[in-house]
Amino acid sequence: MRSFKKAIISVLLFVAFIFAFSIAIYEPYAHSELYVFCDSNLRKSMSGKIDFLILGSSPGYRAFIPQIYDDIIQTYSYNASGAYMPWTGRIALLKEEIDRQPLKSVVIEISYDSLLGNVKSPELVEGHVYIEPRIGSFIDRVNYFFSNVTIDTFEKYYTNILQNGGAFYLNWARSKLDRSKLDYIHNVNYRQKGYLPYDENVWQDLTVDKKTFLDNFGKKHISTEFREDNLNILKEMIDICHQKNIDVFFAVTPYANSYISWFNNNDEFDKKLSDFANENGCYFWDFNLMKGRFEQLSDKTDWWDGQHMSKHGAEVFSKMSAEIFRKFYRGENVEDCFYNNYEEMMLDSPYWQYMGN
Amino acid sequence: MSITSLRFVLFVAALVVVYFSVPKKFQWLTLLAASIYFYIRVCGIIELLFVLLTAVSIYGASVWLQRIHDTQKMVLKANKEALTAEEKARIKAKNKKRRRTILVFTLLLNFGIMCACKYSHFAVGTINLLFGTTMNNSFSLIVPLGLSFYTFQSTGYLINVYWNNCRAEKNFLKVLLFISFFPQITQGPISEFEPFAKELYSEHCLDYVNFAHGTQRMIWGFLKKMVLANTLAPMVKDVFANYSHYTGITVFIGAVLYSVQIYADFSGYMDIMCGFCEILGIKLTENFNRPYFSKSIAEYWRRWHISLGEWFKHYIYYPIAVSKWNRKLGKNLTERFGKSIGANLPATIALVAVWLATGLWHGASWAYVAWGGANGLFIIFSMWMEPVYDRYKRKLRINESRWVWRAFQTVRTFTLVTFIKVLPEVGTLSDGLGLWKRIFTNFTIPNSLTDLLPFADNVFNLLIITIITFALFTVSLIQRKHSFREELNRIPYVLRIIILSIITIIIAMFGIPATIDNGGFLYALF
Amino acid sequence: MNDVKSRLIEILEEINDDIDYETETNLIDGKMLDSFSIIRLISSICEEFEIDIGPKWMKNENFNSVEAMSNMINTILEEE
Repeated sequence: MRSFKKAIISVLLFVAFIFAFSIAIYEPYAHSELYVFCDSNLRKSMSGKIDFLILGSSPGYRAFIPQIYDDIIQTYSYNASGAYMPWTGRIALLKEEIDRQPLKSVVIEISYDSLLGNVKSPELVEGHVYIEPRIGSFIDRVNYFFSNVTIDTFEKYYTNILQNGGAFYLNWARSKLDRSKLDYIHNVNYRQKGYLPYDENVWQDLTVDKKTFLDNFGKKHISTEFREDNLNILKEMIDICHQKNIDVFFAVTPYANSYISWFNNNDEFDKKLSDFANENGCYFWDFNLMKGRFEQLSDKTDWWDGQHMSKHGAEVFSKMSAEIFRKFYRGENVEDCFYNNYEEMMLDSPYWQYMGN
Repeated sequence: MSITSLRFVLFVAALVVVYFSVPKKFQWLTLLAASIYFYIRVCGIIELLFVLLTAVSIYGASVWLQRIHDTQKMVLKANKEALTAEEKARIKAKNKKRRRTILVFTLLLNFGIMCACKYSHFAVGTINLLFGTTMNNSFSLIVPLGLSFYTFQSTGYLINVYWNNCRAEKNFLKVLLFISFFPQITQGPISEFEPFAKELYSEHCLDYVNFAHGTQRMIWGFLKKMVLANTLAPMVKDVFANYSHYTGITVFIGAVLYSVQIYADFSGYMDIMCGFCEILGIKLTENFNRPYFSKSIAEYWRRWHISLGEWFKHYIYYPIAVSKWNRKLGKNLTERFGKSIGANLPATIALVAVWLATGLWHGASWAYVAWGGANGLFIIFSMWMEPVYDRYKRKLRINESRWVWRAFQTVRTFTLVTFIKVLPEVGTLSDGLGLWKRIFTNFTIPNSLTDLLPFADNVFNLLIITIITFALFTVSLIQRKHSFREELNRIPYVLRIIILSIITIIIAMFGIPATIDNGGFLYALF
Repeated sequence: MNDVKSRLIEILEEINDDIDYETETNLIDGKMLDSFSIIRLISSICEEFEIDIGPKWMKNENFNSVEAMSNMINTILEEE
């Protein structure tokens, strides 16, 4: 019996210490608002003010600059997007804001693969790690944890927490040693109402030469097998909004001029999403089809990879898209702001010359 | 279910609770149920049928052999006076023949299944090569998990029953447990029936010391496997795949890292399973005894994968070396050529058989046969050269007890072992030889650390594996003189638990990502 | 018995004369005789005593001491 008792006590002690150490590693990451994704207190402080909410994954996170929207269409906007955003996370954030904010419009940024993922798979666990500290109430966080993390995904989830927490300490130590390094983790001001560029000075020249263009043109296929459970969450989000007379917009952010050419069925994807939007009383704008995109957005400076915009690109895009919203709110027809489809748009692409035309 | 996963840890924890909660006479049954569940989860029902077939055949044969032996004993005793010496001899001879037939048939059946599953591809390929035929050699036969291990373990048991070294177990389920016990079935160790079975079937109480030591050992095993071995895996893989692009010294470093990796992988698994069995109070056979500290290749094979070496020693080496024809051969040679040759040649024949078989057991390719042959060659060579070496050592006045000499022997053995070990791992035999060639012919000096270690893409990984390798080395050094556990016991209880929890966090932080990318155990394909 | 023992010790000393066979009881487990020596030992025993030592006798406990080996030899002699 004594052995039994001692064994149980040892195990409990062991688990307690692991728990304690894990919390110690996780805490500054989760609660101190010093880490990039944690914005729960920030949003709370804006209660009663936000009327324009953007909910997307990383393309949306890096593309919509709320300040520019506020200037152009006189909103009080907030970009609540995040990297690897799972659908369960989006609806959790929406539910958190819906009652305490005077929302008029909600923009749901949807990227090519966003509706395809299985929320419960180990690959997408990272998104849950980023969402949890953003949820305001402790009980809701616990609920979120238990509904989204299973035994099979717990390992990846746990290691992610440890690694993110560890990275936080590492960065903190680094910033102490080298003040000249831009440490945006501590610079809360660098974050602007939810929008955060990857880094002030990061972008890539994604211009391609003729050979690369022709080698890759139309080689990839966008899957339109949207998962049932993701669509259900989307429908639920739409219902919640419509109950409060909130307009819902589906948006696809602009991808690099070269990147969009790698796909052979962009129009098919658009049609499917557009049909879904129509069935559910929502608006759908694929900002890849904005007229003037090739003139104003360049592969040289405006993206840091195919789907994610650089700071400069986000500035240009936010101005262009805010103008479209302004027209829309004034009741004007915005259809002529867009190309009809990718086929038409590609004719104006700077790469079209490579097609022997 | 993978062994390095949360599921497995929960499975093991639940099993420990159940094991110590059920009435003691049912404890071995819970192990059987757990083993079957484990096997079905990791493999499948069809593979389980293979195991059952082996179990049924071994059980049937062993019980039958035992019955013949017991009946004979009874009959001879009862009719001691009545039978003549001739009649007694006839009865003995007849029974011997019957028993041998049963043994041979059962061995053929089980080894036949093993060879069919493992070697049909290889055999067909070789026949095609030799005779220019074009038979289809892309079989996709089922290979039950742990086939080589449980086949060896069960046939070892049967042979021991045949030799009357142990009595056949009458309970089929107990035999099934012995064959399918899940800590052993995937990668060994290969146990002898006695004394292991006694441990397996007997009743155990939870003893705190065993519990603590077992848990410590499991954590240590997870650290070795998940953090050290799995971090090294992509680096080693890179070097083996691209050896012609790297400098000779880089390739050599890669080979050394492979030695570290496979030791951490295999011994880590052993630690996990031995630790688990220790919690239950069962002593599992050790498979490793600080092998890289060996001073000769022969010694190395007594310290690496010990249970396999023992199996080959008992069931192939001794039977061949001590057989009548071999002894006669030895006697003739001694008369003709002297004692040295007369003694060494029988042993050599046995060794050749053992090492070709060992090579083949490890892999179904000529590279593995060459590998086994290389090991055997070194051992046989040093056996023959022993008197010559002794003479030179005396001439050079080398004092064998000085640590310098022992260190030299250890480094020499480790280097040799590393070279030999790498041969079949690169790909085909020509790939292995190509890698050797690269090490010996390319003398480019790399300019920087990144040139020297191009396969390490992350300073952090290097740091982690350096620290853990150093820790492993230090623990091994300590173990030469003291029991490391006793050293651990000196640390106060709460501090010990804190250290273990920190190690567990390190395993979670670095081991889980490395495992997700690189997964399985290297020996699990046997 | 003594006869067996003394003949045994003679054989053993030819293989390795550094060991005190009268008192040593850990010849195999203590790694004093390796597997090569055992092979030579067995061949010599089989020749000297004109018996067959089958592989079933190849257990550590039968060779750990002169005592054990004598017992084994005598048992085999009896069986025949």
